[in-house]
Amino acid sequence: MKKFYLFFLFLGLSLCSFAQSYDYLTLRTADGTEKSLSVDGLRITFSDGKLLARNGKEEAQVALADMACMFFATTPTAIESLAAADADGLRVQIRGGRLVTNAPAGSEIQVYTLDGRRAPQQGLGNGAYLVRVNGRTFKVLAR
Amino acid sequence: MKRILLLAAALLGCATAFAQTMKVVQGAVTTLVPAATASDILFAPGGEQFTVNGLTFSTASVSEILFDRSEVKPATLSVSYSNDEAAVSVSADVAAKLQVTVRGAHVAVLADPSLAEEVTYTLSGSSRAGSFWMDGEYKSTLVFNSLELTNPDSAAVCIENGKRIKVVLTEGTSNSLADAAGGPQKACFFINGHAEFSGAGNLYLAGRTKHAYASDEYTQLKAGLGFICVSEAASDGFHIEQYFQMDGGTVEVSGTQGDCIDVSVTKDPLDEFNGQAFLNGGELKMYVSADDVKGLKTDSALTFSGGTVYAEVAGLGTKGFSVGTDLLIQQPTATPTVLSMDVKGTTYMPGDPALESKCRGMKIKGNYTFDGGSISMNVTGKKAKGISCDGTYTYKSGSTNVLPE
Repeated sequence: MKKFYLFFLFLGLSLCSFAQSYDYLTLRTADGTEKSLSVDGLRITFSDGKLLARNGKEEAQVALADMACMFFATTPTAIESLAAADADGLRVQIRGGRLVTNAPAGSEIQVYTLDGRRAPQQGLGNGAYLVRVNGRTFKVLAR
Repeated sequence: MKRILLLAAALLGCATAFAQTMKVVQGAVTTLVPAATASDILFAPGGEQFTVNGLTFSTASVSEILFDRSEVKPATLSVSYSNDEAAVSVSADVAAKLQVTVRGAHVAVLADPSLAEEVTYTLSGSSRAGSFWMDGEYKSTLVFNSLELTNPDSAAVCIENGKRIKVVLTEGTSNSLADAAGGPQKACFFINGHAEFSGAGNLYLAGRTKHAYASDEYTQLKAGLGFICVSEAASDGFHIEQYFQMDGGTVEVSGTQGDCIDVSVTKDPLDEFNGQAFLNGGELKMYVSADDVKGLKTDSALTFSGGTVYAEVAGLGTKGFSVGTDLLIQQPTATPTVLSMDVKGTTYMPGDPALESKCRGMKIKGNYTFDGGSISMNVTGKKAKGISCDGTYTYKSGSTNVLPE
């Protein structure tokens, strides 16, 4: 009986490593913009210098020249880049280790490191940060 | 115990349900990348190429990338034939080492010499103008999974790879291979290396240029094999070099213009069991109807140790067994050794000193030892005989019933 429990423990651990559900494909452009789409029914084509991704529910279109990479993900991301066109004109930057934004006064702003830890809005070292402004997330580089 | 097995099956099922696969389609060839092992898919500056798991694809050559929840088995290549087309899917882990060419329903795979793992090639579907050709330097497995393939120009399946080739007939499937007359091929189904057949499916062969099946090294039919039927051959049904070993399955050979099974010596005299045949189990049926040909012909010894052999020896000057050296018939295990023959043929080219050949159930050029099993022959052909032995006959055990005596 002990052997069976050991077998199932081994089987369970083995399956855990394989059973990650990569439900999303994330497209990342050179400026850091990320867009995730569900992989269910996802189809990607290339034409006229563009990548077109569709899954029947949503689609993304990116100029091939702007593509940096794609990767499977267990959770979706929708990180907008500072360089990305922002319909509301919202801008976020880190200059000299300090968060700079044109968000309206009273906006809810949080800064996180990429591993999810909360960070201050100033004294930021070089690296990438996720900045959440009124529910929208930006990936920002501090140089 | 049953509960435990069900639980294990359910766990595995769950893991499969989670699998996601990226399918990069380039014309008729699709590369399968499992999400679980996929690296970042990196685009080159300008976006003209992308690389995943070490494989680089030109975006101009990719017709589409599809994603689904299918599972990818590593080291696999599958071909699905449909009329005049073939679709090839190859797992990403071996894709870089397999050069795949598809022209209509003709598929050629050249494995890189650096390939050091066994690839399983699975063929399925139907085409009346298709083929599969493969070469490489590492052992491989070839699976027939409901395949119906006819090549009017050359061999239906040609494996130039000289290593061990496992041929698996998927259980419960019916598979057929045929070629057409006038081609350059040695056989409708040719294996350059040594072949090991297994799997409880059926395989039907028709060789209209030369042999139905040929291997340049040994061929083994494993226990549990299903059914292999040769319905016609312009020459031999099975043309095997080195040795033939039958441990199981049912083989039926008819409609051949040459021997039903011809076992020849290789060019290397040091090859193991060169020119021999071993019948250890299964059922072998041979209908020897052309003139001056043999049912089972060996250049060297024949050892019959189990299973059932039936031969209808009907053509002029034909032989059921034609043994180049010694014949041993024995029953060393519980598997019965049963031989029955209907010897109906008469003499081929009677009176011709060079070509005259008489009909025989068994023709043994060396010694014949009988040590178990049963032999029954019904000899009705004019001047035909049941057993003809040029060497010494030694009886130890077993029953022989040759009629008329």
